[in-house]
Amino acid sequence: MGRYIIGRLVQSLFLLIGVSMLTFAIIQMAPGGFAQMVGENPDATAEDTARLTALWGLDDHIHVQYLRWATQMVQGNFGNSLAQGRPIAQMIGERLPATIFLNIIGLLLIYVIALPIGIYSAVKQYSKFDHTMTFLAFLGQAMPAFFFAMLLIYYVGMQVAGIPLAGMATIGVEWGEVPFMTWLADRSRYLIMPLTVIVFGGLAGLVRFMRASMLDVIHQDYVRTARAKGLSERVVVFKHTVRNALLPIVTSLGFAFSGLLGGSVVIESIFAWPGVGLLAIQAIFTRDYPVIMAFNLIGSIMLVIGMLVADILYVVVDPRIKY
Amino acid sequence: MATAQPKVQGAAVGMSPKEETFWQLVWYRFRRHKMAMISVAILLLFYFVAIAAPLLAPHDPMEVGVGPRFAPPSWEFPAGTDRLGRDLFSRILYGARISLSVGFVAAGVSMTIGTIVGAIAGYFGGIVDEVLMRICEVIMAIPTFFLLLTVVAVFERSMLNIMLVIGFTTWPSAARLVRGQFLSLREMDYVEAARSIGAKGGRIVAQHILPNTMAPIIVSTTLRVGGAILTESGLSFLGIGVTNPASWGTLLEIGRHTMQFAIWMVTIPGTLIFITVLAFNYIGDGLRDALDPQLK
Repeated sequence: MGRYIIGRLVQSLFLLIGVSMLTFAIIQMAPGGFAQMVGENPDATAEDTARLTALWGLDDHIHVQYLRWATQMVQGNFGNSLAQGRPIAQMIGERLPATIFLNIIGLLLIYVIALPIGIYSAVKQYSKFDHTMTFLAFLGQAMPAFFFAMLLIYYVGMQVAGIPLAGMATIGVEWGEVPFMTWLADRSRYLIMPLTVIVFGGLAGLVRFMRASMLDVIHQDYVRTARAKGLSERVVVFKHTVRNALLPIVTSLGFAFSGLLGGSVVIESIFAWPGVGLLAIQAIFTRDYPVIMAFNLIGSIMLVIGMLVADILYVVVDPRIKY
Repeated sequence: MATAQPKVQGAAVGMSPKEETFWQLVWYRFRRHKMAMISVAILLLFYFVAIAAPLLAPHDPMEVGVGPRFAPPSWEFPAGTDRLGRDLFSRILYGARISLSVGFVAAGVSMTIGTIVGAIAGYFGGIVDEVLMRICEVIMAIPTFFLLLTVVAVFERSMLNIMLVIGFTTWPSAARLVRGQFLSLREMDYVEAARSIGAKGGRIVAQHILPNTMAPIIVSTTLRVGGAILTESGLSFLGIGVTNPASWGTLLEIGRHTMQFAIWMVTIPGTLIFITVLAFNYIGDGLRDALDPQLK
């Protein structure tokens, strides 16, 4: 087991090196080169561009530039934002908790709601419930998250008092400064809208996945054997079927998290949720390349960690796999 | 197409024992998927409207002041008007051209690259497979939407670029799909048989393996079209999509700022995106059932 984890860690490391190269390469492909893009400012003279080129060492060989950048990254120095002039690590550090907070709660809710629906759908295959859920899941998968968010804002948020449409907290309601219940109520109110959109968006796919996985297992011989030897339906479903059907779901965790992370760019920009997604959008508009590069790296680090955790969990939950 | 013919369970689907071609069978099975058939009808209508937009549009989509500002939908302006008194119906007709073609081109790019890479990796295996799969993993390790945003930030945001970007960022999953198919198919007895009678690699791939991977490729392409339309609308919604002429996603983004008193500017383009994606997903579902009943 220890060896397996170490092997996977090494593999993840190479993956991240690949990601950093790819990210670096994309930015390098930018037409006109880095210095010129920064110098899109009409006031920038050729002299300014030359000075920036020298300052950032843009005349060096590409691999020298990459190594310089990568070394800084490894040391935790993501450089400074071009737009704000502040250290990127600090900017992202401020925003990351809000995004993780929102997405972890979202992910938990999605799994808690979707798994039972998927299981029940499969157990009662072709029942009314199954048909309804499959239909709803189809609708959910085709619904753009932002459109759903707009409808929710218009038909619920604007009609019902007390549901905040933007932000994460009321100013002044801080942890430790107000009674805990007041703090909790305030945070929860702000969570209603973004969380609904996240959960709605994630449910459909997982319900279908869980249902398919259950159906795979239900038709296995050992389930028929369990039935044949007279075990109760309850034991057959929960002990023999669900536990096996959950295995592929576990592996999907890593990707699920990264999917949410990408999706939170849209959700954060709709609800002005002060997370990294909002920062990413600002970086795109201001062409803040160092920030964008840092984003890709942090995004993939989180994805890689997610996949790693999923893989290890997989070994833990499936005793058939030994390392 | 004889080689592409999978085991046909004629009795199981109520077929006559009479010889029928593979595609006739597919059509027979596809026809019975009601939602898929409805979807085909809807999409045919949408595409017809998109192509005929210049003939059907009552106004120039960019012409300002053809009606009052923010007029709600009426007989004169079926989709209302916007802030500048432009006819939204005409704008939606022209937007259809963008939204509907983005899906096809992006899915085409994604599937083409994916199929080529996946076929090479799966057929040759070994070190070639290793290298190609590691490349796929690297691309997949960046959350897709982040990668998209990065590329969009770097390159000029033209319609073509948006299509290409969506294609270039989503091909690895296609490559993995095709590779998996190739890995299992190349071990099949009939491939071995072809090899033993001296068929060359290219011929084996083109004649014996590729046709048998068509079912998952076609299904995946269909689903990708819907996915790409969703992605484009998401980018547009963030204000970095196709703006001239405005795609449905961009129209929705414009409408979002005045939705308190002009909700139709959001609901109409939004519903159209929703229906289009839904239709592609249903067709994909219908094709999956029709092409390979065993996949169900």
